[in-house]
Amino acid sequence: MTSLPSPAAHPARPARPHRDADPGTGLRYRAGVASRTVAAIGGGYLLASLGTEALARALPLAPVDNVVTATLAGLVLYPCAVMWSFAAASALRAWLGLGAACALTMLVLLALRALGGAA
Amino acid sequence: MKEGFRQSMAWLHTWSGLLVGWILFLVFAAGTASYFRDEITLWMKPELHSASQTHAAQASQAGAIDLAQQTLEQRAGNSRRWFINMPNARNPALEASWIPAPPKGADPKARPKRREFGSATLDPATGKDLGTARATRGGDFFFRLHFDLHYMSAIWGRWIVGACAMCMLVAILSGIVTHKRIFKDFFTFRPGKGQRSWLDAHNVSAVLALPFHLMITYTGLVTLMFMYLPSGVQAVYPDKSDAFYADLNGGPSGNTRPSRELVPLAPLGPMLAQASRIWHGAPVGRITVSNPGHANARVNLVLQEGRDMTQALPNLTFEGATGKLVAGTETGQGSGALQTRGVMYGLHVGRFADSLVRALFFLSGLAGCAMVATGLLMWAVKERPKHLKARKDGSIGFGLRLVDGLNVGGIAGLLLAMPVLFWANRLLPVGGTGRPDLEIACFFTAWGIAAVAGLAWPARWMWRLQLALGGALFALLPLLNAATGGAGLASSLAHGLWAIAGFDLVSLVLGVLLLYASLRLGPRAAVKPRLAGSAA
Repeated sequence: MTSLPSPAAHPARPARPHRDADPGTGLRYRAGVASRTVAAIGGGYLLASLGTEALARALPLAPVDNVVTATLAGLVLYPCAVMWSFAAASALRAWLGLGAACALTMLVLLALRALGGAA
Repeated sequence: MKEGFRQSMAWLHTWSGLLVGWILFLVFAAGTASYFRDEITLWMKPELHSASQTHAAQASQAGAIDLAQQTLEQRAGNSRRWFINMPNARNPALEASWIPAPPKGADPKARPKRREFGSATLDPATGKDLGTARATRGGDFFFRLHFDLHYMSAIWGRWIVGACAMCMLVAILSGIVTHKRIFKDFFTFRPGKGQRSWLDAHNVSAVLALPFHLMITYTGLVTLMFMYLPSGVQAVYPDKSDAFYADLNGGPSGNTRPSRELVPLAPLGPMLAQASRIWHGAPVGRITVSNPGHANARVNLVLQEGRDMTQALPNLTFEGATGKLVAGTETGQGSGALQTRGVMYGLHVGRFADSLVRALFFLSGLAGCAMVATGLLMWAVKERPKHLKARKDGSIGFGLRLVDGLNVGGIAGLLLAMPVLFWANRLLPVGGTGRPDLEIACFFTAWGIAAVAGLAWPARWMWRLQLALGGALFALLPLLNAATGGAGLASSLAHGLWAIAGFDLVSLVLGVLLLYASLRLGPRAAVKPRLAGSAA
């Protein structure tokens, strides 16, 4: 989405400076940054939150140890999700990646909740 | 997002660090000062300087606890909770404090603010009240400022600081992956070369103490992680967070309503002796008595700090009415997860540290301040040539001007406001109500003026002025101390009062460094524009 038109991608007009050539000014670029930021802050927190809950339910330790271990791990998951949001090739891919990870975690979580309810 | 992974991480590093950099500088500076919280408090109570001189000798724990109990029964008989800190190497006085009894008809759920606690500082050998000291929040101000901020509710402060800490963690992690030659850069410093010099200074201060920065940021988040990321607690302990905290802390919180039946508190001395026996002779550090004088009174004793890295120190709970041991641990060894959290928490607050380790923590904290400050300055240095090139008339854009202004006020201004607090502590009249708040108001007033001035004139002379003022105020603190009733350097060094001498000497060194920085910014040392503009 925000992959920039690099000079190589426009061999037909290499000399003409395009407005998008300056990564700091293009509207598309700015929208992409805003979109990634929302993905990083909101999506990252959701993923960390879901991941923490899934781990807290899945671990075989004592309840309090499950919670502590899962929350310690969740604190690492968040910055990783943020870094992914800005490392992805485009804002769309950042959203897709985070969405897939959240959906997967949610599925695991639903399974764990069902198991927990049955037990 | 631009060309490759490294570039996108460099971008993330820049913005994640810049946007919260000024708050991070405050958090780092206040946190670094908090390593010497007790020493700062002692310095800010010059009335106690001579007392700590004569009472450096250790009194017996048994005698001291009896004195504390007598004092508390006289002065805080109706209190809901007492706290007793036994004398130790860092604080030779016996500290007793209490939550005042709630006024009749008050909301029983309303918790009193920390500063409303009553307290008494006692001579551990004679029980004499040493508490003629001036009212001040001392080092506790920096400790609270570090994670609660000020002039807002603590919850808001904690969320803001937590969000900034997470940005810091992102900035550190992305900074590491951006770095191509982390080892080589550590030995690289090119002074007097504008942007390159700032880059090198940023790298050195960041890489030098990198394990510390990473540890302190992550463990800082760990201290409040159940507030920031509550989904695990909510899933495993639905609607029972009290049960969770009881499991976490190895016992009930003791935050129970007092029972109606009144039963006098059993003597604390035998409980202390029993605890010490269980801990193979190690002394007790802190005692908390909940609902003293009631049938459901509980006495919690914690092992003295400095013997174990973990914050989850062994503690024992006794029944207050009978003096019977009801719960507790011989050692602090919980499960692996609890130990991990305890050690991380302990690493962050550093209360286990002896003088040398504490000094290293302090130096690492200063390196953290330097890392944040150089990072902020580097952004402005890097941005300036672009603005000058694009505009031709020598003016700069709004964003850069704002960063310039915030840099002056956020960095130099804070370094000016910190010594102002200490000057206010000594110069404001002793006595009168609201004195602690007045000291703090002086701190924020000085900072506010510095910030406004910085935003109005974000220029080199403003940097020089604020750094010079801050430097002079810091460097003159030893003189102020001696002139306003404290133990001056000659006296403190002669009597081995290392806490007070250390404060004076560190202030002197910081002051000289700031004055030197101001001098270095003089016109002759100005960086040639050609070098400042060269690309990295």
